[in-house]
Amino acid sequence: MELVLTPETLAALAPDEQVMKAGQKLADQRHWQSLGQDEEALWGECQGSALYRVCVDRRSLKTSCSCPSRKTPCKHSIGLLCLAISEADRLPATKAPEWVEAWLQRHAASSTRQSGAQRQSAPANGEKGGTASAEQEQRGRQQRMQRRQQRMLRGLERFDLWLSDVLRNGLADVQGEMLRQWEQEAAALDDAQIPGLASRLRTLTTVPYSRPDWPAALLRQLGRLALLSEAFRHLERLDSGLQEDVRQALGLSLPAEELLTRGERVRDRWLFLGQRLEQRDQLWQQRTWVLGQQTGRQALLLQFAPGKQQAFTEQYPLGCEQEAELLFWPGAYPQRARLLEHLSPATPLPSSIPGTASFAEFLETVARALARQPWLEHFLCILQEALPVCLDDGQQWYLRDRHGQALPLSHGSHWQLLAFSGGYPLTFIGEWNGEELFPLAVLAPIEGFCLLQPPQK
Amino acid sequence: MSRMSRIESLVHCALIGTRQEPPPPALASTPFERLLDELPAAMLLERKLLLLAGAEAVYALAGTSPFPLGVAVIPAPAEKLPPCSPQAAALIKSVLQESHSELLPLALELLARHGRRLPFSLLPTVFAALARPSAAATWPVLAQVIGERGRWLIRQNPSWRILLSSLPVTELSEQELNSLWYEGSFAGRLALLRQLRTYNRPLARQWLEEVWPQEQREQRLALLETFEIGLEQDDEAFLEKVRNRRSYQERRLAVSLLLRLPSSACRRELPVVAHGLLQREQQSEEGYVVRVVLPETPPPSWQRFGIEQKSLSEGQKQHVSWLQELISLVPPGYWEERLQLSPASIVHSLESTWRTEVLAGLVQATRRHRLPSWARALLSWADAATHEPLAGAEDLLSCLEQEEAEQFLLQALASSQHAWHARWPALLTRLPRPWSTSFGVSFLEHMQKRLQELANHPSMDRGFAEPEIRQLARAAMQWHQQWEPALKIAARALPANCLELALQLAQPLQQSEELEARNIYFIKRDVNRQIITFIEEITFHHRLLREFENQ
Repeated sequence: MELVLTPETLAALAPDEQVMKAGQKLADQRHWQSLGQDEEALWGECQGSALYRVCVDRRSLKTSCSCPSRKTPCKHSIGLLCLAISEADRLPATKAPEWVEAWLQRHAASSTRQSGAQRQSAPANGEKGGTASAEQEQRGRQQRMQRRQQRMLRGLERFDLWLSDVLRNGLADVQGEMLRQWEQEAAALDDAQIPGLASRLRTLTTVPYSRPDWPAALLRQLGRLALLSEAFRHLERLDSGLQEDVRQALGLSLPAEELLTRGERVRDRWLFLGQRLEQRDQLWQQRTWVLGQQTGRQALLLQFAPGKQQAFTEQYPLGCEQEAELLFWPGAYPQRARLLEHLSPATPLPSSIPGTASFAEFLETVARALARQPWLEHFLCILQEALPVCLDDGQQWYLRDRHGQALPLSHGSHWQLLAFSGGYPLTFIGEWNGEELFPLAVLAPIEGFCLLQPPQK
Repeated sequence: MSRMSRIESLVHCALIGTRQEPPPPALASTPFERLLDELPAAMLLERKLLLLAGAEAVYALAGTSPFPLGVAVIPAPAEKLPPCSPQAAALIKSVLQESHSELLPLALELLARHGRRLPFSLLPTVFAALARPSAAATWPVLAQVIGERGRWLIRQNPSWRILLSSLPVTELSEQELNSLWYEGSFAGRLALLRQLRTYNRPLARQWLEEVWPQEQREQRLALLETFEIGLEQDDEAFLEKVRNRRSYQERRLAVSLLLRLPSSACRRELPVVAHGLLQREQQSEEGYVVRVVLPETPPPSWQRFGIEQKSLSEGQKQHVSWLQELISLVPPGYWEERLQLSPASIVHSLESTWRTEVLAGLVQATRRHRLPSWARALLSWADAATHEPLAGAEDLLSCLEQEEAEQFLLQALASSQHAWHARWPALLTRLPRPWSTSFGVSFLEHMQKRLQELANHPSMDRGFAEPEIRQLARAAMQWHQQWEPALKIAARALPANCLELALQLAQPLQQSEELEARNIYFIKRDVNRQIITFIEEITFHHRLLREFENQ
């Protein structure tokens, strides 16, 4: 019944460093009463300004606390987890009190709702009436969909003209006032309900004059946007998987209900390998990379959080493995997934994980993926026997495979990665964006799995 | 065709704009010609160009290939020490996140004491925090805790190379030594010179002689002070040369070092200078007084001792300064021998006219020569009128053995009649760490008593009379001057077996009803906050120790 999270996994769960630190301070029995645990949960009452009831679900690591903090997990929940890791014997195995039972039931009910196990609820007013209303609803949905598609097509028409205009006037002028026009164009795309394209366009505003080869990089990216809009105009000519991808890339999200029926469910022991946080527009995007032990499938768990607070709904046990059911979004190369159901508590990763032996092999899988879905942006790279190389006193960073072939590491310095390597090969886990590798974690011979702090700029 | 050249012609017209620079007739290169043919002929040229660029982008992305990188990487040697546990690492990481934490030096000290090293993951953060001159005080312990990986890593990052000076010089290559000494920052050079004074004194002397004339004055003094480490007869030649310098401070520092060499020429000159300066004068059958007999002007022979008359007009003031300076140079044992009196007798029989100057000089001399008997006598001295101890005498506590020093401090803490009763925290900072158990326990008892007194202070509800307000102001002042700094020191200095007791005593007071009920601002806010910090720091100390012991 011992909780087997590492301090690192825990640090990754905490929404920020303050919460982690405050939580560590609370990891002392004197702050707690009525501590306990059973097979499903850990709980305790923490003495703060009031007595707060804290409860953690073992499988999903979802937490509940009666404190008013808006951060999840709050410091009390982190405190309870810290205590459970460092002094498990302080939490006696006992029967869960009523308030814990009640929360677990509520929590279970809401996750079943989400996983769609109860989606076949009987219609209220008889079979016939039900079908009629369902048909009506279906019709309504189709009409709404058609209206939206029309609107999107009008938006794309305008966007394509603008794009051609940009090329006619030349990219050399794209700075200052001109970039504000790009922002306006992105806003127009939002109005036309094409947020995916709007977001992609906004990220391009940072490209001009950012590096020596920016004209080529910008032209390539604009070209990919043009391909995307062209693809949507001729959607019917694409096969059904790619149609889904184009819709998603433009920001036409799949309703939750539909995802449940059309998405692919995959059960496996999933390895939670790394996480990257990026701010896009006014939104925090969290990308968690997982790998299925038996299926060998890679999945990207995406979460978004608005504003300054990086409050994400789901907590993932990085550096752990867990049996779970994942739901993949339909597509030509299903990559994005959602964690549908936890089937076991998380346990630390094994000492070795499957990965590619060379960059050539890795890039070949990337090429194959792109052949099926050309708008993929990120790829999980697990390279065995990888050697980080630091040149020019830390000005240039590369990762070299066992054959002496290298790819550049992301902009910034990677001293922690170098500290783990010490000039010896290790298993590298990172994210490839087509140009550079962003390190996320390593599997080192002695230390095992270690998450890396984001590189310093 | 390379990734660049395929798209080069497209980029050229895209940059300038198709309005001014129409694209070439053969827009697409291999393998995109066919793609272009499939597009409707009526399509805008710009659109075609964009779609072509998009196709090329995907093509290039899918066709990325790695490049050979043939540089040789020399790996770090294998580790000799075990790392600390992941839990200990997590604790140390938590203090690293605080920018001005005083707990990091404690954590490093504990690591060193338990023969553990920092985990690889924390090395970069620790180096970033400590690779600046202001953190130089923590450098000496680094060599014991960074392991082989740390040594290897320091050498990779130019902004960490200053830390090489914290390593034993025997570990550094000749090139590293040279670059640290000739190109490094002053703090790094100073640290390196200290190391050299331990491991390679001939080189230290050689280097110092080379650069001596070009250094700035303040820096010269700091460099000269490194001679205190491993001072030996071979240093005499160089120090004698310094005695000819223009700066009297340099001369004086050189003399104070030379006087510590029993067979130095300077030591033989001493009687010439000091002879007759202090004289024992019998007053009655039993009584005597130690008198100061000053020459009108300092004789020229004193110049090479760094003592000279600057201007006659300053008269009395001038006497004051050179008398004190001279006394500070002379090994105090010299007076014992000349006057045939014990240190305590000399200190207590000084005639009043020059007493202050002589005592101040003796304090400095004792600090340099580290003589317990003199330290004892000077520490116990109190001004008859003000009951104040001697200024700067707190430094002499380090001349005593730990047990005696602790006893002395406990007496000061316990008795309001003691000269150091109001200034005991100054002594506390000089105690060696960790404290002994008995001292730790006594300290905690005093702390608890003081806190209880504060908790029992009458509340302001009833309104205060003036004497009460004055008493309260005194209590507040006393807290800020004494217990606030003392708790900070104690959190790091308490021995392992006192930490639980510290928590037991302090925890009930944290937000205790008694303290909370005081509507006196400083008790409610300041005292409470400081107790909370104390508890946090003790908890950290306690947990880290437990981690090391359980490992």
